[in-house]
Amino acid sequence: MKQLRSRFRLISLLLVCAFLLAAALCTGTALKAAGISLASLPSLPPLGISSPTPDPSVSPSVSPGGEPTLSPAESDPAGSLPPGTDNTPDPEYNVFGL
Amino acid sequence: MNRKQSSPRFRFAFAALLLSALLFLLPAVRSGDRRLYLLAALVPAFMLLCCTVLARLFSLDRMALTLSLFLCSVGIAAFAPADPDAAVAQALRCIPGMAALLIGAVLMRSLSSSMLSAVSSAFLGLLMLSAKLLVPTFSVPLAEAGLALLLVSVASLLSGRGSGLALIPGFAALILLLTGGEIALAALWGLTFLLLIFAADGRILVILSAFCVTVFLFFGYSRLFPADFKAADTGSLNMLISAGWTGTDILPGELPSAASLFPRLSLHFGLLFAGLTVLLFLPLSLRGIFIATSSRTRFHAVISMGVSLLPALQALAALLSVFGFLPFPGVCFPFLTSSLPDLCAELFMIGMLCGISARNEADLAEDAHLAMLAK
Repeated sequence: MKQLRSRFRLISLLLVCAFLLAAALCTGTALKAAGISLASLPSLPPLGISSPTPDPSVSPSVSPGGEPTLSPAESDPAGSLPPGTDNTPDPEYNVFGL
Repeated sequence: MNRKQSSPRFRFAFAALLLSALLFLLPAVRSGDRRLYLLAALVPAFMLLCCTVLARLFSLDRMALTLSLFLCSVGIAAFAPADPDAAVAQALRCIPGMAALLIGAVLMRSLSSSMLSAVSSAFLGLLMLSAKLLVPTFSVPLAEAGLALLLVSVASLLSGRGSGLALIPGFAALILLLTGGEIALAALWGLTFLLLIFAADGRILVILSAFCVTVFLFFGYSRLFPADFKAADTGSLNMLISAGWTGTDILPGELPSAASLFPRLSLHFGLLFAGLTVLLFLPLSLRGIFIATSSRTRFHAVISMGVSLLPALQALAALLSVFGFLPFPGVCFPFLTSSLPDLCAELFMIGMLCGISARNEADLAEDAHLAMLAK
């Protein structure tokens, strides 16, 4: 009976491994078929930082010349502006009138 | 049983009941169907009745019973969102299944290893397997019930002195299954049989010869009928994945397999829930192996091992077939089937497991009584 029990334990171990392997295989196949690969996971944005979603009701501001206006940071790629000058408060949220 | 031991079991049973009620309540609230509200009340009530009154009356193993009943309720819920009538019919199918479970429990509690039980169960099991060959018009699938009886015969022979005799019913069943075209069941039986020989006999010569015969039979069959070995097409897998991780309300016109409820389940409740449900077969089989290791006799140990291995391997085979890793397209998950004979056979096997567990508990109680008398 001792040998029988030890073999039963070995079989149960094999069964657990088989289940885990099958679960991993099937999850991988389902992810692959859904178009999600493990290599693309690091490129996803981290949790808590939501990607900017443009409001469809608001059209981008266009300059009289027909070109979209750029923010100071965008118009100055070399970074010559002193820090803090590119985030002027929005008048809508400037409750203190600063 | 003290309170510390009973508390996790109570919580587990309560979670199973709550989840099974939610499985019917969500589609009921969405569609407003009265039948689904009725099922949401009756299915957990039936589960509660079985897990308390029947489990106490017949000394059934509560964990195995709760898990198998929960899987049955998932099978009923697979029909609920799209076809409430079929869900009611599936619920009615579970009632004879429950009767089969009780018969299995009572049978195992009173059965012991003998040549008479080995011969009679082998005869009945082989008769069930050959029913399709003897009467071609006979369409009731009795193969799983036959395998349950053959397990009794094989266990009885393996636990006796002439363990080599167990090879005769084992290979006869394998040949009959292959002749009847049941390749998936033949593969499952072959693997279970080999593992039982490894556990109960352990002689290298016997194991190797059994392995060679099994491989030879399958190789010969694959040479003769290569068309029977075909993997599931990618269309069915893509259809399951199209439902997403959380499921969809709309079913496509034709489901991959009529008897299997897994496609319905994954389409309605999503791949995530279906995957977690499949993982429940692991604790069920581990519970069965625990009962096997705590059995007093080799006969009961081998039977409970076989009864635990067969559904676990079937679930594995079904999972791998759905994803196209195995060439068995028609294999169903245990309990997640709309076939009444298969459901009854699977619940009969769980009943056998519960009967052996009851016998173990009775042996322990007798030991404690004897120890008390000796003091």
